[in-house]
Amino acid sequence: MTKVLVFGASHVAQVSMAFYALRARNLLPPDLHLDFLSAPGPVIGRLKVAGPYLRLLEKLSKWPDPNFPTETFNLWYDQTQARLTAISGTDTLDLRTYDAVFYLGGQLLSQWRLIDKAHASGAYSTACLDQLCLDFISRSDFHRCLKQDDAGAESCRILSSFEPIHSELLPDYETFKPGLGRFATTHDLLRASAARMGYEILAFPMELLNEAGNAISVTYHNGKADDYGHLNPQGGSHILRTMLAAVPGLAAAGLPLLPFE
Amino acid sequence: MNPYENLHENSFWKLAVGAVAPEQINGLWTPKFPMVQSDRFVTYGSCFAQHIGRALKGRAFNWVNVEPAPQGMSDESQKKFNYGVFSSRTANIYTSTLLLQWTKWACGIDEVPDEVWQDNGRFYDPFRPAIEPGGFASIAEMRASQRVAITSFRKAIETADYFVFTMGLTESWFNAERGYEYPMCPGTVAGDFSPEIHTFVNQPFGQVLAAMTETIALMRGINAKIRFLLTVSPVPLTATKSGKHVLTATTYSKSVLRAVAGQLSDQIDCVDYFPSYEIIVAPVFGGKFYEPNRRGVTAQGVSFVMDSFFKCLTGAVQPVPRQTETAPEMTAAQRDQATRDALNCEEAVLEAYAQGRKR
Repeated sequence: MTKVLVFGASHVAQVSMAFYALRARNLLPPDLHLDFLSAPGPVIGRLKVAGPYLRLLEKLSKWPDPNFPTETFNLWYDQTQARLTAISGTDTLDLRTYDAVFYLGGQLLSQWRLIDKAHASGAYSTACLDQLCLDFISRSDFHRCLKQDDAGAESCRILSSFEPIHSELLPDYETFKPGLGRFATTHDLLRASAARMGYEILAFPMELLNEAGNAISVTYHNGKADDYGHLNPQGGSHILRTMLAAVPGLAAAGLPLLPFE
Repeated sequence: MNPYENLHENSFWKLAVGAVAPEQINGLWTPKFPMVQSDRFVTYGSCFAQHIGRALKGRAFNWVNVEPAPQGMSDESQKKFNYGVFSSRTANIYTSTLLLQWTKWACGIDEVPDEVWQDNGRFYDPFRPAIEPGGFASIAEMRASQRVAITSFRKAIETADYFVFTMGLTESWFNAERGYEYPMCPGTVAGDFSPEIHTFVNQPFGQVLAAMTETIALMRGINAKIRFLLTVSPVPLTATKSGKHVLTATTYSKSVLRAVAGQLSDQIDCVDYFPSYEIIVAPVFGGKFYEPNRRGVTAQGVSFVMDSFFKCLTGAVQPVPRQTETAPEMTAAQRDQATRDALNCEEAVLEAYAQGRKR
């Protein structure tokens, strides 16, 4: 059996939907087992990897997001905690029990437009742009979660994925259209800077983007009128495929995408 | 009746200095111009100019940064990459002739020399050798950065109401073959020194005055309304190549700069001089504003200088010892920040060459 863990932001849910839909169609290797742990909203900031262990830090009395009531965040926290316990049997998950571990999200792409703007201006050196990326990464939930505070501790290899950017259906979103090439450049800068910090980030599936290179294509919108951040399961299957392609032995088998019906 | 009978109290040493506690001495500067917070200030010059820029920002004056760091960069990284140190990324401009050189580049009168310094596969700008930590990745990148800096410097001249310049040194290094000036002796921060090519010049009064006069004229040609506020850095030389003792070399250098600043201020309407130099250096203050190395200026000294600046600016100056309304003092947090914020000074690297010597 190949055991894989996918944890991180709320986007994990769409990856899990893709997985179960593919599994229902017998499109995945039968001995492939995936666990999913999704920490919605600011709860992702409470996930912490220390050594080879993943745990959930204590609940906050005040959450750093004014968009939802405290009760909502507390509920999300409790659900995340319950899921962690369901997977591990305790409040800590030993990552060494998996053949592959993936972290998804953590605001790695949240400031990509600022990086693009700085790069496109031509006013900054490559070292300066790298430093800008390092600064953004250093301030992200991604870094807070995965940074090993004890450099000498035994750790576990974790591969990461960028979270999807917003959908092109987002009302009043800018007409800023950098094109796929500029998005790819920013994406490469972030990946290279993260690599210098010791992180491995998978390539973002570019087929999710629209032609303007500024948003997720309408094809992968989740259909909810008030949600322009999350993918549909077909979009999730693209992210799942990039993850599974990085699991030794799985890529050669040819990984499917979830078909539209 | 004689000309001294009706002079202001500040004209008499006994009244203005001798009988007054040092910290109560005021009225050292009567601003020529009615500077207000909304005026656009740009700051350049030697290390001490950084204090002026920070103080202007700290007091909500309109300090203009025409070459900002990329949006979202941390304060620490901005400092590392020399953004926000001066109004554009010129690095320290220690001499008046170097200021003239930058101005001529900005005016398109002179081309930037094509000299590049290389070390371990990295490329260094001879005119800003420490501007990029670890140097540039390529010559093209270094040239692009030079172009941005020069364009930004011109923009600073075009947009400023006040060009604040802190004069730092008279000792300078030139390329003897091609006539241009380096901000630092080649071979110190970066580059290689060649005695056949690199020439030391300790600039006399006339050369400094001429360079400043030409610079002012050129800048007024770009921006007819621009005004100048000159200061002289109270920070002594780190090292001298003059052959003299570093203390007498410092006195010479600062005396020349102070005399030029005074003459320009007295003779040109658009130029004023603020005596930050006197406030730190004057014997009446007993050297108390210097750090134990007797060179660096303490945070207290910087605060005292800048408090004096803003008090004079807001018209809060009255004959001693009357108390009047004063400009807002720096907060404790601002003072702490000033202490923490080390200056970006290439010249300080020369201190390394004193290592291993006696004393």
